[in-house]
Amino acid sequence: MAARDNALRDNGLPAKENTLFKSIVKHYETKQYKKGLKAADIVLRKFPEHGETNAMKGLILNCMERKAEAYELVRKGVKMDIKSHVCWHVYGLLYRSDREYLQAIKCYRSALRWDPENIQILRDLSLLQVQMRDLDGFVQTRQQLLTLKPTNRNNWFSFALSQQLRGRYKQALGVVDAYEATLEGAPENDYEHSEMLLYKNLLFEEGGMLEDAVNHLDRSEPMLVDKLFYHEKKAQLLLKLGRFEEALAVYRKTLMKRNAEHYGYHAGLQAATLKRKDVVERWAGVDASEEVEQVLGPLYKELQLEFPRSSICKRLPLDFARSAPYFREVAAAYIIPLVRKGVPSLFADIKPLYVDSMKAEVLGDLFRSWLDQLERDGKLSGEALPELPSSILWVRILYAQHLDKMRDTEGALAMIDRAIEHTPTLLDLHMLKARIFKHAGAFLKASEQMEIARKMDLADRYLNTKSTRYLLRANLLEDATKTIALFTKDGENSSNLFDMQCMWYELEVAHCYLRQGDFGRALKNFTSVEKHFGDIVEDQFDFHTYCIRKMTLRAYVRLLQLEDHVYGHTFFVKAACGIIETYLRIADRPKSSSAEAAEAATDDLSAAERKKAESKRRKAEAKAKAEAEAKAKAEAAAPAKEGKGKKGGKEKVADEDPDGAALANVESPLERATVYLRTLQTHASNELCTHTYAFELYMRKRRFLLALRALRKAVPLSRCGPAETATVHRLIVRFFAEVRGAANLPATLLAVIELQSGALGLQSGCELIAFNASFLEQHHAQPAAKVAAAEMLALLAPERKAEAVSTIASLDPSALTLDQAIEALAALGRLGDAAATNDFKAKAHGAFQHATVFAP
Amino acid sequence: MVVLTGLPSRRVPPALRQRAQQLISFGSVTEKNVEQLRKLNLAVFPVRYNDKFYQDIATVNATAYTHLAYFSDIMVGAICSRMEPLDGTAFKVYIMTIGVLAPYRRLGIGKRLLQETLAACAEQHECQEVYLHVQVGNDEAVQFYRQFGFEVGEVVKDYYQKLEVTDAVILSKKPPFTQK
Repeated sequence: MAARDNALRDNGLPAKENTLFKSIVKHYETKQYKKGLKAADIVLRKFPEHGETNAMKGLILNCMERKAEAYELVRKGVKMDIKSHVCWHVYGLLYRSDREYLQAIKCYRSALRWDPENIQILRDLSLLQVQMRDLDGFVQTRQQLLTLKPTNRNNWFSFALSQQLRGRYKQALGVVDAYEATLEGAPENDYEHSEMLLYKNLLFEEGGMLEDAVNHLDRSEPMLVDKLFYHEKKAQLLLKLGRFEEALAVYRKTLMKRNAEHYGYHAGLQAATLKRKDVVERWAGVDASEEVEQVLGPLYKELQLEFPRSSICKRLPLDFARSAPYFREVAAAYIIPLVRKGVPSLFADIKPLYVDSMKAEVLGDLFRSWLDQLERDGKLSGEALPELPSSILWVRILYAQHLDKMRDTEGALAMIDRAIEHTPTLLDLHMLKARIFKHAGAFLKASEQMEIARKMDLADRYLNTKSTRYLLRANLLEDATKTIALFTKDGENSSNLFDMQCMWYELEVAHCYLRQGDFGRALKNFTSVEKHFGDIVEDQFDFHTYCIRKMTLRAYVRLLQLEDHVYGHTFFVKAACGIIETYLRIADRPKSSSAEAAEAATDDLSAAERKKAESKRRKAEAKAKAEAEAKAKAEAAAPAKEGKGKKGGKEKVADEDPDGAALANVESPLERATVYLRTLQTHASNELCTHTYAFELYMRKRRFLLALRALRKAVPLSRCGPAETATVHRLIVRFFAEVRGAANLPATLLAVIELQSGALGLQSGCELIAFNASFLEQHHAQPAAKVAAAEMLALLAPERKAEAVSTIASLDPSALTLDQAIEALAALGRLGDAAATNDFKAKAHGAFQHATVFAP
Repeated sequence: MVVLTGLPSRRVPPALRQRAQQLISFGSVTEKNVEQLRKLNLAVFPVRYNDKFYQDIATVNATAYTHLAYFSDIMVGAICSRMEPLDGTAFKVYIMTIGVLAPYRRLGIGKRLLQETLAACAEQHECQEVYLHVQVGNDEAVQFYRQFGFEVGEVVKDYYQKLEVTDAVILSKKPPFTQK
């Protein structure tokens, strides 16, 4: 770590102490902290003012979990010897260990001021720069390193890579070319040489030099180790270049023969056959012409003959089928063998087809007719032999799932019950029943069924996980905790789930707490997810050196790209939305009782219970602390072991806020929420929720232009579906109602806003009531739009509230989806008409008799 | 308890029966899957067995004589037996239940289950006898066991307390348990 050559510089110590100082550095590098500390103390006894020794002592203490002392000593060291690059370097390392990268970069830069060509410090600096994606700085540092030490291969490729990351592909290629020119004779390591060639090929491709890429690939072929990749890449490149015949040949003659079960190969083959450059991996939901079916249909007939054992060759025609008769034919050919075999995941496999209503209808028709035939004759029409008894079971299962998908809850339940009667030992049936109840909004019943399934196979982790999830949805937190503990290592110790980065669990638990109004614990769990993402970003650090050394540059570049987008991952988006939602609710809490609410923020418990919980928490804290101390002691006693995990000591630090009370009790919840919002805006701008939350936050902060910007981003996303359309309409109306009604807004601000109104679909100067009415007219067939328009009418014209209420109340729940009905009920509640709310609830209960929200 | 009533009237064609044979496999009871056995017995037998019955089956070392039959990976049948000690190390095996879910009968699953248990008995020299009770008048069941060389023994009065026909007949088989 710390450069050994640093110690060689005249550091103002006499020879004997200088030797000791060198040994400190050595002990630090070999993680023999106790010995290092001892040596440092000997030096300091004679030279207490020696800056570098103080700094090194601090660095060692940092590794022994004595942070406060460490910072104090290192800072002291820097002050004593401000011109020492060692002190600054150590200061940088200290910050780096705490992930304070920006501070660390500053320290390294100060160190370099006193020793501008120190390779070790330059290297450490470059690592931080790529970690922080300071790409310009990274290019500079890598160039400097290459100039200083051109004999090292790593320096060449790090420099090439830095250029690539800046998008300068020509320069990057130049660097690789220059390095290649230095090579003599046969390559020492075939694999690394091959990777180097493929990396160069990647540069051609990313730089848009596709012809060069193909030519280079062919030239390099004899030296490539990864032959499969050669064929794959070649086919892709040919396709991109529009050289369809050649691409087709590679896909059909080489790749398909190697693996006929690869979706990517099929997509490429289809694109080449259709002579189109855009590759479609799944046709379901993609607009395609009849022509696609006519061209691909015969192709797949051939492929099925050529690869009779391939299931994908039979499956894919279901995706690109466009005409009902053809779909019926290929669907039956695909599904019947799987029904005979008994494949529990079959419906999940064909579910994506339901976006096409023709396909949904044909599938339902097929299932029904098979069921009729089996019930009547025990065999499928046209077959000589009767079916085995399991066939009818799997057809019933499929049909039950079909009915569920078509929102026929009663039919689905009846069908699944018949299946259970037929084969009561098949636990999948109870899982399906649970799912049907879940879709019907009956979380408790769903959970009961999932428990039945779980108990039928206690060794199944999947069932255990499912059951935990269902328990949480039913707000049975305690049972859920016990259930998940059956499969965790330490039993009921939740730290294990945190260490395993078990994010689905943390999200479900957080939502469960949020539903119960326990904001602190909700935030605690949501922020756990955020911490995991921090760790994932952190994890790339080791790869910066490792990948370059091992020449796995292609994989490294992919890793960097993944890390760039990791905050757009669903789990993070969910967690961040949850955090923002929670802070919004905290901010919206009635002010009068805010003191009380803060008191009770952790729970709705009585004072006595709260006291008890508090003392319990304190005890837990004390225990964790004691454990941490004991562990630290044990570790200090066995320094040899410390090499294993440098973070080992950190993990068991006592959680100072186990209930998240501090998280919930912040000065300005809106500001806290804004931090998360910014991340979403950068990484998840395609999600409508990002912009709706941005709107909500900025409206509360009365930052109207920022709210307006959120609306502009939301509008294009409102076309995703009727629910989204309705959501965005509400926001637009609320925005203008607020802005036009606000007193004392600067005239320029209003002018800017009115100027933008056209982009939101609102003609300048148009009355909001008229705008709302025309929205309703345009979307009158959509229940979600009706509800939204009615609620907005009541907002704009309070005297017409009765009209709004009756519009919503007149909706027929049996014509709505469950979500729409829930939204309608919520809207009635917000309008404050208790009688209409109760009437609607009763009506909805008739239509959704299992749904808990409508239960009387 | 042996139930072979309620057989589907339809004869199973030999070709189908043959195809079915390839889909039959066997497994053993553990405390992890005993709940499935409970569901099976509940569906097959008019008598409810208590928790102790299942606990014993899953834990006691008689698991060698208890087998589960799977059809295409679904549990559809089971034979549950227990060891009854005689003098010294000798013992008999008592078949408590054997049953197959109604839709899966006539495929030879019950036969294979009984063969599994008889094979396990044949491996133990100390096993002196295999026996069981059948409801009086259940000729089809008696016929089933006679195929395997079971002999009809004495009638036990009022063996089944909760059923319509309360008397049971004992069927038993002595070594050798399997034909070479």
